[in-house]
Amino acid sequence: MGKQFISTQIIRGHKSDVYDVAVCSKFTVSVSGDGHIKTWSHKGEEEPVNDILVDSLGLHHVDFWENDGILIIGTVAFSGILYLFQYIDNELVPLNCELKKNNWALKFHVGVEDQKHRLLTTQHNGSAEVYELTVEEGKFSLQHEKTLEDLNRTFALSIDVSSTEDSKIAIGYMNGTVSLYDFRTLRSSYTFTSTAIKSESSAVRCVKFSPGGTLLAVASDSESYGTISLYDVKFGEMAGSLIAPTNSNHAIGAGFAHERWCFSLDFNQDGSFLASGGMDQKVRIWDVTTREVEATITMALTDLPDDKLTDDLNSNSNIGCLSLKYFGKGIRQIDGDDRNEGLVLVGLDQSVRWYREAGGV
Amino acid sequence: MTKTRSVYIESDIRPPDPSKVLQCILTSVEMALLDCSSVQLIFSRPLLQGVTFRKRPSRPTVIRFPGKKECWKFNPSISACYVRLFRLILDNLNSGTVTTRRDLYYKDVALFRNQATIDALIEQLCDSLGVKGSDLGVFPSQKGLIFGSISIIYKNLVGKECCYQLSSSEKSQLTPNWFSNDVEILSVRIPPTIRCVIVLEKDAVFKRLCESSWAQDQYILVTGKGYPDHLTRQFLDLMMKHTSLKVYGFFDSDIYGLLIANTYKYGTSQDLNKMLLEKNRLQWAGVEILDYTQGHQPVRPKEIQLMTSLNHRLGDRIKLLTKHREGERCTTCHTKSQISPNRSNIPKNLAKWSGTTLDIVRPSATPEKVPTKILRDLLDET
Repeated sequence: MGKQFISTQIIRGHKSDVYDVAVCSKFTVSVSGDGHIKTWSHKGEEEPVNDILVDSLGLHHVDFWENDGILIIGTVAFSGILYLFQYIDNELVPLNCELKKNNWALKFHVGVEDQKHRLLTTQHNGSAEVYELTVEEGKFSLQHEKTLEDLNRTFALSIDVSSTEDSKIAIGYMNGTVSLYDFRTLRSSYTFTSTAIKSESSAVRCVKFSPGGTLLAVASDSESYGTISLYDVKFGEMAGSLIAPTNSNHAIGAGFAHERWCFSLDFNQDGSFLASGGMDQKVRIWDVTTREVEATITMALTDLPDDKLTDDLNSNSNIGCLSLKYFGKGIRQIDGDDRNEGLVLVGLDQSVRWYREAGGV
Repeated sequence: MTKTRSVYIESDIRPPDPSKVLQCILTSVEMALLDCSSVQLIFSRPLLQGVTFRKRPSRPTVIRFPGKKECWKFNPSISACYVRLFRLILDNLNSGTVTTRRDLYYKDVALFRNQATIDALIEQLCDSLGVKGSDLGVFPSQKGLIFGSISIIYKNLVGKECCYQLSSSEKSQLTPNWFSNDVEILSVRIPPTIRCVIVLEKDAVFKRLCESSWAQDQYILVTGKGYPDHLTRQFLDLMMKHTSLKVYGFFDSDIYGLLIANTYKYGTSQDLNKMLLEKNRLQWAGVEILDYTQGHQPVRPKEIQLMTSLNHRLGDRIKLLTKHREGERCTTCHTKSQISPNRSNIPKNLAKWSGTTLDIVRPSATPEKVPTKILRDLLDET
């Protein structure tokens, strides 16, 4: 039984690669190598609601924190600077905070029950910084709490925090290891090392916790292929890997999920499906329990309107998916988009693409 | 009271005759030695210390022979250096031999101590007299290599017509050093089968492509063996001014490749400081980091820093989306890769780029690609 995904909207909104995307209740926000952060309304307008040039060096990560009517958006530039904005009256207002430089990935966490609200960032030198986020009377402040040092000292590529009461933090590194920390005590619990043949080419591109907090999906490189492994968080053991079905004759030692590197993962709302996007222009939707591919979306340049092809983006360019996010029913309000869960993809084709699952209730 | 002779070295005599000036200096020095007096050499242009950053002239323009020891920080007998250098140059001019700065330096390493001394002295002499290095018989050393079929007719310094020919059936040659801005180029002829000029970063790849039948009569190959020197860049300038060929450059996908590509296109940081920002037609054609399926190597933090600072510089002055984007992609992928002679990605990338230029004009036409048979032959040979 396969799922089908229908493309609902494609906007070529940026002048360079779009590196990251996030979906909050008010809009979809995308950041790009051209240095702009743009917000796209859920009603499907072609023009962005907000468009700010943040850093001419380009932006590569974006995340948001939404609680009690306050929306904070954070984005990191290639210069290593972390920029924060608060969404007030339909405008993105920049916030001034004392933050460390040389950031790479970031993750906000809305505290569950009596947990703290936190912002976590990874640094170029492999450590992770933890800031405590407090909002008092509409005023927002960040306090540096702790630095999670890494003994490996390699570049920390990805970070995620599980959204359950018994939260964990996962950090993925360039040499293929993933470290798990306990959110409350900020102490290290498990470390998974890479199972790939060569550890130099097994960078952990993305780590993602399932919504229930029990599984951790890890996307890492293996030579030029992308592999996805699943780990059990409670016992610290490998639970399996996702392997794409292939018709080719040569048997590959360990299977792979994508033919090129896999850059992004996201679980859907109830954790039954996992979407993965890679540099091989494919986005695969996996059933988590059966580990089988339910749907494949191919990103093609022909999806974009013809008059949009230019010198730097044509049939010979590299196309791939750099980031994707699931969003729930009822968030997008165009074209019957509110019937089902949807996916938003961004990548090297300078566009933001929205899809929804076909078939509705 | 010893008398002091003064010799002025300046450019008010037109045309300047370096051999006469040098003869005059050396004669004065000899006479000073004989009658125990001193000689003053007064240059109209100062001696500039350092080669890259010329903020302020730091040395006086008057040199006494015999000199005082405490005047000179980097060379206690700078006046001896001057005299020795002038003698060497004068001998060359009289005998008609040409040489390079490196050769001059190696004539007396103990005295000159380092190459920068020679460079600074020659610069001062040239600037003061208003002549070029070639007028003193000092030519730049040849570093780059070229390969292809070219025929250039030019008028040399004495007005005689000469012909420079390079044939693709021969081996590659060093970039010619006879041209300078004063040489008048009469004509540049290339066979009509030549499609474009290809610039390569590494000479290993260059040699590989020269040896294969792929480039014969189809392309002109140029390499600077890393960072290009003035001669190689001047040669490319010549090709771009006198022919309408496209110039594609293939560099490694790492920060050094991008820096070398920028040097080809805009010149060195020295030229940037002088604001000699003459852009040329060279198109950066790869190889992109995402084109590689193997051979990725880890990047060091220093290289990421260099990449960030390069993008910083690019962003301000020149809008170069492709290179900026490539820098970002390299940082995100956090690997680097180099063109290796064993698996040359160049035919594939060249096909990509040839396709690009045609697509803009006639999107419906099939893009010009390197014929697949030649491609296969090249890859089969590896």
